[in-house]
Amino acid sequence: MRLSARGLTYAYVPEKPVLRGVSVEIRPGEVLFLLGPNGSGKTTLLECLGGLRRPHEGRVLLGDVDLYRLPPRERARAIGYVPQVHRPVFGYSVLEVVLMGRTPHLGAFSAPGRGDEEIAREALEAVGLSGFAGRPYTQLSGGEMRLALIARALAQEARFLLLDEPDAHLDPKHQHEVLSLARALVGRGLAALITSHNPTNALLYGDRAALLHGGRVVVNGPPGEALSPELLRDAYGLEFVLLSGDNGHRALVPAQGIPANASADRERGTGSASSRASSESLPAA
Amino acid sequence: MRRGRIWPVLFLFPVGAVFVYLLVGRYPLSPGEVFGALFRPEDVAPTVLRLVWSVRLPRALVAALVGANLALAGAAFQGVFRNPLVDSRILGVSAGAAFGAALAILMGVPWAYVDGISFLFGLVAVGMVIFIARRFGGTVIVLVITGVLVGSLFSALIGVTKYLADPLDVLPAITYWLLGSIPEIPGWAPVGKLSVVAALAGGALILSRWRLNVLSLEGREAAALGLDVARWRTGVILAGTLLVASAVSQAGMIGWIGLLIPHAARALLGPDHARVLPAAAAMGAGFLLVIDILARSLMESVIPLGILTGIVGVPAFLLLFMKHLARGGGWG
Repeated sequence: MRLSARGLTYAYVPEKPVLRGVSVEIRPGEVLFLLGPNGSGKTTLLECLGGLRRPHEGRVLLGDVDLYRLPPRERARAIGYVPQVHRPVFGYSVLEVVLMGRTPHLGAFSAPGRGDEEIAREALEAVGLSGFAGRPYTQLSGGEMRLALIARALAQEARFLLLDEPDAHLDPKHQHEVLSLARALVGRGLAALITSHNPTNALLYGDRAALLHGGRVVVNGPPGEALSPELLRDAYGLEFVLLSGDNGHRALVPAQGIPANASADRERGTGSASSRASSESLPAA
Repeated sequence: MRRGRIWPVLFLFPVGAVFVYLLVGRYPLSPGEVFGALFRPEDVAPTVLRLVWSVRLPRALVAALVGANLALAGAAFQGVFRNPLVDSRILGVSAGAAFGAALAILMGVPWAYVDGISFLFGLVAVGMVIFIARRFGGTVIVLVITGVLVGSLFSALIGVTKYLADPLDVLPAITYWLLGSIPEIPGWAPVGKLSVVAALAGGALILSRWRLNVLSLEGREAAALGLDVARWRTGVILAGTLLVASAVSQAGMIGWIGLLIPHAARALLGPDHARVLPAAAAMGAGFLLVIDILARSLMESVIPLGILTGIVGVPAFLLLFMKHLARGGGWG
């Protein structure tokens, strides 16, 4: 089953639609990276796909069912939303936060039971947070919070994961933890849409990449082929350069961040230049 | 935290407070007399029996139920508005209900009908809030702002009733009522009314405990977890409104309980509404019983409760929270 957007149009201000007839598809076994400048409508598209923001035109289909005709509970059993991190008002424990993922499987007036708790603990184990169950969620680090929110989507038993900038504000190691977890889950048959500001992460962890620009998807394909420095320049208004390392590692980074004498490295393609450039010169989200 | 051990204490607190409540008053009773009146009525003097069963017990239960209902509503409102600074007066319920009572007193409506009119105006105020807020998107912030506005409108209208009231007899009656008090001899009717609302609205909230947890997340997250957020929010607001309107219509404006008791409950038991709601109900009941005991024993005349909850409640809870913060706890 696929989750697909067909000709979505959405406008916060009537005369300036942020999405103009956007179509994308999320498939099981695939990580789709969604890139695009600030304000290009990445989050809007993600919310439309999650059933959280009804598009003004076009349809979102879960399989062949209109997502906006599904009862919220059924929708929530299929699609898990991993929002950008923010501190909740009340200090629920990590286990309680993950248990909230069981909500679409519970009756209106019931609370999670032993079986739900088992599922939540398994989800915590899957993201490597077993030891954190009893801790207040509010005391987690940014990376741990994201892992906990992914665990919640797993407890939800969702087949489609929509992750809104899961790599933002994280150090490289934690970015790797979160994104490689998404990869591993997709390997088990889930589907993931990841919005990001880091083209290199799309190269590293994506099966496909789509670039939103001017309200449209300007490219959609395997990241290595789809994301060219030229397209990124047109979208972000900044020169990009593709760096290649010895062992096939590649990085897409803004050219402005690279000193002139690094251009030799660039041609020779040393791995050290690429790793330094990708972690140092990319704009924060 | 050893949460298991705290529940018996939480529920014995209001029960014990009711017992003490029955002892104190202008005509003090001994524990033996109260015990006899409750469990072996044939051994007790008829005056004692009448004092316990017709005066003090219904009054104690009114105090307990008013406290419980205010605390329950406060906990639910804080959850649904995702704001620990919200209390039972949000959305103008209290102001509406208070205006209803002031208007009824001003017009000379018989006392038996004042609570009904007050209750209705509480519902009217929230009905106005929901109706207006819907037209502007119905988000949490719109609801809160509309609630503040409608509350202010009714507060102004209360001012009008006071201005028009006869300063010799009607005005003191309105003022005293507004400051909050448990009626001297309420009889069993208010106990019945408050219990029905507590059972229905409080019961509905306790049944919705898990949805309340999800509602206390950001709106989109709650929706992504399969909740029809607008519908659940309205349901919780309605239940909270019934609880507050019932309390205000019987006992006037009693502040602080709806704000502080839910905090105390969370500090003790964590934020899960499955624990917060019953704990808040028990603590609210016990707290208002203690406050009313003080109101009736500190001075010759009965001190208005709204004044005492502020004077006694605020420092007591400040102390509690400073201890809590010193232990490194958050608002939980």
